[in-house]
Amino acid sequence: MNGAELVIDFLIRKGVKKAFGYPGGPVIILYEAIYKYEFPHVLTRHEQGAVHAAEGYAKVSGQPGVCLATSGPGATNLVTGLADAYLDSVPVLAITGAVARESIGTDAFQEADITGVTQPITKYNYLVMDPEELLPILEEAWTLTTEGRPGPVLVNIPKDILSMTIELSQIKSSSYARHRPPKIKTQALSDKVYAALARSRRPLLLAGGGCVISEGGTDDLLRFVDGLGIPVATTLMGKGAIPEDHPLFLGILGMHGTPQANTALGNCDLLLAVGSRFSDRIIGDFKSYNPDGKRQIIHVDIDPAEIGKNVKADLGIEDDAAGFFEAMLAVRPEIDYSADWSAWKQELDRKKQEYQAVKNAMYEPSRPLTPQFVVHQVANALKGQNPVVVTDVGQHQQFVAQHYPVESPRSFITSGGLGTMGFGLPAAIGASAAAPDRTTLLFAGDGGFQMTIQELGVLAKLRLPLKIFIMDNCCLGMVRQWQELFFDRHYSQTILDNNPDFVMIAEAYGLPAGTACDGESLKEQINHALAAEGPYIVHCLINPDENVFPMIPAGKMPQDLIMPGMGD
Amino acid sequence: MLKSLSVLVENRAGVLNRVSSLFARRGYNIESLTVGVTQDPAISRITITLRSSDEQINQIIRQLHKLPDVLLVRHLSPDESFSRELVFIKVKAEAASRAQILQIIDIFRGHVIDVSPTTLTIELSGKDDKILALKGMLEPYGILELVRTGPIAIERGVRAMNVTHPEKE
Repeated sequence: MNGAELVIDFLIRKGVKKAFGYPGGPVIILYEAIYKYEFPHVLTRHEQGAVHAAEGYAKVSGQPGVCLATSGPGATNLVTGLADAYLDSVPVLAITGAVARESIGTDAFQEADITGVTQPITKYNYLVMDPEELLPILEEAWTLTTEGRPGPVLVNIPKDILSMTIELSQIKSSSYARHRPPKIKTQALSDKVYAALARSRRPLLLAGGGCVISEGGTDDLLRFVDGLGIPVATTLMGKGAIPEDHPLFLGILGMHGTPQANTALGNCDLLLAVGSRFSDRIIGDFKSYNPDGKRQIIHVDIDPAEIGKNVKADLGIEDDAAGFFEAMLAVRPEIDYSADWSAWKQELDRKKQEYQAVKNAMYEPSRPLTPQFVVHQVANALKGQNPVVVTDVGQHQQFVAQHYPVESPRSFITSGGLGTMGFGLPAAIGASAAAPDRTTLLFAGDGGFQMTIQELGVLAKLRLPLKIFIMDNCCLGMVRQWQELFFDRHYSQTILDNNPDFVMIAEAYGLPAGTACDGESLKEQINHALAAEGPYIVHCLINPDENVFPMIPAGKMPQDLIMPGMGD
Repeated sequence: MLKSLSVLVENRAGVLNRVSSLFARRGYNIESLTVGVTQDPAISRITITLRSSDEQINQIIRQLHKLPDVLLVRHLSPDESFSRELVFIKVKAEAASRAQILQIIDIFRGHVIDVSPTTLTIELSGKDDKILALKGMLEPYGILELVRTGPIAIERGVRAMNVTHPEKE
C-alpha cells in the first residue's frame, strides 16, 4: 500500500460516508487512491466549500467531517473553515498534501507552511515527516477530533510519503503517559449544586452548544429541567437542546436573545451554565456582570480551560453535559423548589407572553417581505417534518434563530463563534449529505450567499433535498443596522445595489428557482420548494429597513436590551 | 508576581513553537523561556518564568494541558524549588582596571572564561538579584556584552518531575 492508499483505506475503515475536497498537483496520488477504492468523495468548487461542508456534515451527524485539499493555495483556502470549526467545537479532519519532504522550506511551487498557519486555529495539527508515523498520526488525529471538546485537526502529508510504499509491519506507535490533574467531576460536587439551587430564588439554567454535542446530553437536560422545574435558556449554539415549545424554555439569550431570557440572565441569583464558554455575545461586559459577587455562578464544561476564562465561577465542574445531568439526577434530593421559584417563574412567564404578542404582530405579509414573516411561513409549512435548518451569517441568521423553532438537536446549523459569511451554502450541502432523508433548509443573505455561490454546482450535481431561501435585502444588513444605530446612518460600503438575478443564476446551474415578493408569492414558492424532489431556490425580496431586535448593544448588560414595542 | 512553570513535553516537531505561541496568542507575557533535553532524549523540559496573578497562572496551566505534546506541568513555588541562571559578561578591562575587576568577580564567585588585552569575559551562575548586582558593579568599567540563559528550576527534596514510557515499564 502506498501512503495515499493507506489514507483512503483508513477513512473507509473509519466509516466515512462522504468526504469533501478538491484535487491538485501534490495530491493526484491521493485522488488516484480515491478512484481505485471508489471512495465517496464530493468535489466542491472551492476548498472553503469543502471545509464548511465537512462542518455541516459533522454538526448534523456528530461524526468527524473530512475534507481534503492540495498543498499551498488549496490548504490556505481551508483556513477560514478551520477557524470556524475551532470556535464552534466542530470535529473536522482536514487532510492536506504538502510538497515532497526534500522541497520543504525551499519556497517550492505551491508550498505554504500550512501547519504553521493553522496551528492557532486547530485543536492540533501534524506534518508527517516519517512514513512509519502516517498511520499512528491518522489514528491520533481522528481520535482528537471528537475526544473531549471536539475540534478541527489537520494532517499535512508530503507528496513523497503519499507516493511511497509503506509496509504495514513498519507501523509503530509510542506514547508517553500524559499527566493531567484529576477532573473535578459532578459526583463530588452535586450536593453543592443542589444546595445552591435550594438557596436560590431566581435560578437560570443556561444550556450551551455543549448540551447539543454531548452524547445523550439533550435527553438528560430535558429530564433535569422537568425534574426540577428550572427555567432554561440556550445560547445560539445551544438552540435545539430543549424542545422550543417547552413551558420552561425562555429562548436564546445574549445579544439578539429574547427579553425573557435576557431578563433571566440579568436578574438571576444563580446561573447554572452547562456547556457554554460565555462568549461576548452572551455577556457583553464580563467585569460588570457580577461585580459584587452576589450572583452564584456554577460553570460546567468539558474543557477546564473555559471555566473562569471569561466569567469567574463560584463552582467549576469539569464534565460534559450528559455526565453532569446524569450524575445530578442520580442523587436528586426530595426537594420541591416550586414555591421558592414561583414568583420568578411567573415574572419570566409574563415577559415571555408579552414578547410573544410582539412577535405575533411581526408575522404579517407585506411587500417587500419582512424576514420574520418569511421565516415564520417556512417554519409553519414544515412543521412536524423535523428539517435541518442551516443559516449563513448576518441579520437573517438572527431572524431564523428567533423565529424558527427547530424540532430536534443537531438541527440548527450556524456559524456562531467566528460568524463566517459564506458558511451557509456549503455547510447546508454537507448537512444534507449527512441527512439525505430529511429536508434541509438554508436561509442565506444576499451578501454571504455570494461568497460561496459557486457551490451551487455541487448542489446541482448531488440533487440533495436542500431548499434555499435567499433573504435578499440588497445590503449587508447586519453592518448596515449598526451603521444606522451607531454611525449616523453612514452606509459605508454596505449597499449591494447591483446584485445578480439569483433565479437566473440558479437556472444557469440547472436548479429550479422562483421569486417571492409578497405573502401570496411566498406561499406559492414554498409549495414549489417542498414539492420539488431535490433542491429548490426561493429568491425572497426583503425590506432592507428591517432590523434585528431584540438587541443588546455591544458591551452592554442583559438588562440594556432594546425591543421596540415592549415596555420594561 | 514572577512565577515559574516547568513543562515536560514530548520532543515532537515544532513543540517549542506551539508552547510559545500559546502564550503569545492568549496575551500572557513571558519573562524568559528555556528549553533543553532531559535524561530521556525523547522528552524536553521547558522552564517559563512570567508575571501573572494566581488566577491567570491556573488558566495558563489549563491551556497548556490542552496541548497533546505536553506531558506534565508544574508550578514551582520559590520556597520549594531552586532556580538559577547562567550569564556571560564581556567587560572592558585595561591593565589598570583588571585587578579590581578580578576582585569583584571573586566576591561573586564568578569565573573568568576568556581574557584579551582589553577585555575579560566572565561566567556567573545565580539568581536574578545576584546577576543584577554583578552587572551593577561592572557597569562603571564598561559592559560590552551580556548574555543570559534565563532561569532553570528544580524542586527541593525527593520529589522528581518525570514521566513514564509504557514500553520501558
